[in-house]
Amino acid sequence: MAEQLPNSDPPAQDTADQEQVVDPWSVSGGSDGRIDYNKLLEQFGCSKLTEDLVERVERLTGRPAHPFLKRGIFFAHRDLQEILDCYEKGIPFYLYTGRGPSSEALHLGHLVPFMFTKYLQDAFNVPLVIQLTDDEKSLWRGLDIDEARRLSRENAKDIIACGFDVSKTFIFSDFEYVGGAFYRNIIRIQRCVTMNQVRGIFGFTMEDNIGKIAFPAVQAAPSFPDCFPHMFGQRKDIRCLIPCAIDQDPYFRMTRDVAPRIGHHKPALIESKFFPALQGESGKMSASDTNSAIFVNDTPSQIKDKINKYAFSGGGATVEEHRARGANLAVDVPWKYLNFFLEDDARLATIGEEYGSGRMLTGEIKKELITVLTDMVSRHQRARAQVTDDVVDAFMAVRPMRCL
Amino acid sequence: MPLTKDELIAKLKDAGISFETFEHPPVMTVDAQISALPGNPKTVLKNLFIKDKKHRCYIITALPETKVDLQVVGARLGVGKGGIRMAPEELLTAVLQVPLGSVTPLAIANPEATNVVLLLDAKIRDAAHVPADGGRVYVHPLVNTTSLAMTPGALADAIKALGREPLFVDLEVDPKIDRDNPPDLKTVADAAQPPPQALPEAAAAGAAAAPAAGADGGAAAAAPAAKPAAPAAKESKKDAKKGGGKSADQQRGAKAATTASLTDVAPRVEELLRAACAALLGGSTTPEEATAAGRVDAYCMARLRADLEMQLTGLKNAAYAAGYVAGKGEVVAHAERRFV
Repeated sequence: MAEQLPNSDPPAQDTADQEQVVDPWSVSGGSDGRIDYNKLLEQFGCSKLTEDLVERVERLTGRPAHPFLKRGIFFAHRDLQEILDCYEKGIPFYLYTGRGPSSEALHLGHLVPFMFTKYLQDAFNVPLVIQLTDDEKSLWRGLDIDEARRLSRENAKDIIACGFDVSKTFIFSDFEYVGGAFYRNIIRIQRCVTMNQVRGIFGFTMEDNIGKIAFPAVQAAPSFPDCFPHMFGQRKDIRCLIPCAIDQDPYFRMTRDVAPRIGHHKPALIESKFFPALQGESGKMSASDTNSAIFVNDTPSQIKDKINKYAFSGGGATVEEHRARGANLAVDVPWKYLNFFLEDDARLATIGEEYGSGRMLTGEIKKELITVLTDMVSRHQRARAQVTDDVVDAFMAVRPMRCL
Repeated sequence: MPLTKDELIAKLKDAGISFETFEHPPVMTVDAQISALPGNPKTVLKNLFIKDKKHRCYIITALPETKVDLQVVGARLGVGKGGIRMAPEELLTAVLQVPLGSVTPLAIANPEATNVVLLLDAKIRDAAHVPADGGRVYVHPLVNTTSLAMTPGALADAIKALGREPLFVDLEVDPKIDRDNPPDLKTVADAAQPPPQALPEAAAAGAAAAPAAGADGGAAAAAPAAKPAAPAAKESKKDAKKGGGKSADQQRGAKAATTASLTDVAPRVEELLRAACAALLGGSTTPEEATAAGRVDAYCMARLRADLEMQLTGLKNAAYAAGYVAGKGEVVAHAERRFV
């Protein structure tokens, strides 16, 4: 294969050390429970998203970069340079992102890629396709198929509430859309990937059902514009940029390998770090553990409770200790969350100073965070309340979209 | 000066054209005209008043059962499949000098209509459709309270008497058009000038009034022309919604810019914020000035901006969804002939 495959890391000096594992189905940290993103970058073979790239994005789009970009939350990429070169030359690109609708309970971590994608759509004024992999959830989680389809539509409402442009955005569920031009591309991709390759990339075994083994092609296909004739006709010159969390990289390494063999451009990627659980990076966020994350339908008092009681603090054990030594920003969850969601750079820097030096107390930084999160979640809920079934139908309609 | 009905009839008589005159209540459609005439003849001619994207105007006169596909005709005229549409009502009165429901090939008698191209259905001269002995076709003499019955030959003579060489065209043929086969009616179209009243500056005044009216031809063409009329009508209805009553060319270019800019939420958010700041803080305080001066907390301003964006996007989505439902409904209703 042209690109580096994940190799199993040699064990660290201490043989009791745990290796970090990152793949589309599980994420776990190394010995200290934390993810080493530099190691991951190297292991996967992506490029670091440097400051000058961020500056270039600002110059090209004529607006400040999104906080996720400025603060290194979206930290890795493949071929972003090329996308920007194309954009400068007037060669169009579209965005592709997706969600596996496994539950109705979306948390803030789920919203992160969508919030970033909205910024990209607005800044570059480009079309967007959003794939809801209800088939994947039925294959892996044994989810009832009709329930998966229902969850697709429910999740679509939360996605739409993030504020995408309906005239340039196509949301589709695999169960409803696979067929036609989309299916023809799935087959083209499947022809190019062997059982050995998917075993190497995704760890499939002979006991896995054949749907799982064939599925990666379904997630790969939307990288190719001729899957969407209602948006792009038969054009193959249009580029694709995929914002996603870094654990999705294996799918798109495979896709990038296949692309030139089927006469397509390789999709570009822009990848994010993981959103920390309330209990800290060694904790695991799960839809079933309500105290592991802030969910989009949490009430203001639930948000306040969760932050106060469960958000892992890097502050001192006592006020004296805290005033003396300051807070450990590297592990402090409220500080990390503010890095995600407090848009005002100056205010964030001040808080970092004050809290890091111990002048600001844990209670105060948590209060700051609770305000930001409550406003954000409330706005999301109000936006979602306005998303009717007709609005979902409109976003999901296979309608002519003259968007380029 | 536009001709009156009597002046026209006098002119025809002077030229030795033979015809019969029938008076009847006003009729707006071919069907109504058929019912109003003794013997309910089937050879009442239907008339479409058309405008192309280069502002040239045409009257298409045909037998009721002749299928007139505006897309095919547009391609044959060299303006492309979407290049012609039913002319707006105000052009009827301005160019043809006839009221709604009275389009007739004889309207070319009017001086204002010198630039209008007249295309006659070849089937009018076809004995299979209009019997050679005694077969008559019916046309209005500039008003829809009278019909003149004459043989196809007499009609051709009448047109000559009014100063035109009649042009009979097979309206139903759908010829292949490519590099080796140029549009067969293009020379006809290119020889025509746009009537001054049809040009954009003039049309802009007429704005978005009933764009799909397209004269009695539109209504009369109901049955066979329903298919071509529907897409043309749909397009002009869309124009009306977007507040454009302008010429086709301008519409196309302006439409792209206008739709995109009208549905862009961000500038509206800034506009609203500016207006709110001016109203609530007095003078011409901009949002930036307000936060810089500490009159409004920066976080509160950012939150307000985000809330405004959210509300406007919600409205935009709801409106788009409603339009989508309406569009679906229109297609279904058309297929079911529900509103025919």
